[in-house]
Amino acid sequence: MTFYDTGVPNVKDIFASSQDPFLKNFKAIYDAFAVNHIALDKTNAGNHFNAQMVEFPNDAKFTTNVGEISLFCKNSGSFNNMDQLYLQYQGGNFFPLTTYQIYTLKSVPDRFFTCLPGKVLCYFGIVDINFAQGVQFLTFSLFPKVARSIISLNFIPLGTSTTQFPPLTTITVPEGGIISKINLFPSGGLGSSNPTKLGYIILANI
Amino acid sequence: MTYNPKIPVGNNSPANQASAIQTDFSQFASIFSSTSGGANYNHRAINSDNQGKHESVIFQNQAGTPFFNGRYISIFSKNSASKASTEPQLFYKLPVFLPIPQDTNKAGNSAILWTYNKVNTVGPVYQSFLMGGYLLYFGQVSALGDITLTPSPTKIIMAIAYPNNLSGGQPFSVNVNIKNTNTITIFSNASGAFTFTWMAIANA
Repeated sequence: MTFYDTGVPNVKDIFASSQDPFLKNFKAIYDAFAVNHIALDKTNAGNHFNAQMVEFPNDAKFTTNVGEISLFCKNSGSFNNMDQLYLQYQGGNFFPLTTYQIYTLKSVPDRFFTCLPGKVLCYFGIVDINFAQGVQFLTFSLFPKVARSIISLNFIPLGTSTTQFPPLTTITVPEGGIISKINLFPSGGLGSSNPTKLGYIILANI
Repeated sequence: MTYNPKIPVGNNSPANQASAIQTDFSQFASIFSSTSGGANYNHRAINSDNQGKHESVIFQNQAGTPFFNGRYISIFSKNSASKASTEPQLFYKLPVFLPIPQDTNKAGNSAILWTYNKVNTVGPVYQSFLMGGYLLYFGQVSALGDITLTPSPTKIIMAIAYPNNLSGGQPFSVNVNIKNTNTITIFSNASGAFTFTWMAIANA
């Protein structure tokens, strides 16, 4: 491995004796710069092909000066100590820009989720409901089950009816600090004779 | 002039390598911080205030997802196809953290599409994007009927609307129909003067 040597050339060297350290330093600069950047001797040298951000130590602090924005990677401290991307503004305020691994919910094909900056998960999609005779409420389950609190929720009937109203909703008690269920109650036009679909969007803190 | 990491070499005296060495120092400095339109990219210049910090970051588009695993987050650019076009977009990739006790899905850490090349901040059909390749459309209307989403998405995933007024102290009814891949329709018993706020999420 080549190491960059900042002591080259030494004042006691004759210049010729620094030939090898010079070579190593130029090679070290080349190799180090080629990590994340287009290499120094290639077309578009200096542009990034990737920006890798190593986990920032939790107990370390740095300053984002006036006129600067910082992007860095930090342990979010939740759910398996996952690392997330953070944004820090001038003055030092910072918040998570990313929240969770987004993936396809294969077991519930019409349901999706994404994340918003600030540890917010956004659940959205379509759910089938049918308040059959005698059913007082239906339980809607959140996937993935990682919501610590529900901030906002909206369920609206899909279709062409002019007599249906949104269902009434209650949020269930957290289990192990996680809220995973919402109860839906029939409202006008959502009775047993009207199975339907609901469009929904739910915002939750994780 | 091109940066040459292989100098000085052999038995050459540094005395006759001076020009090549100067070229390397010069090339490194100029590549480290190129200038265009009065702005430095990708780093602030050596010997300047804030040297080494990024002023703008240019991502060279990648043919595929670069392979990397480790305790760091990666940001890169590659082409992403949408209904409107295929364009370079920013992606990010998190370190692996699933499964966890609360979420046993072995989702891995696939790269996540982060951006879309257009937003609409003036309405009446406002549009932004969500992480994962989703487009968010939203707005307010004062008449029932069709709302055409632009730019046109691949598929509308969900749509909602809410009446903002009451009729005789009672709320209006509301239904939203996903009519086709770029149109939703609000149905209601609303009459008189009213507004509905609405939202839709679609695959780009």
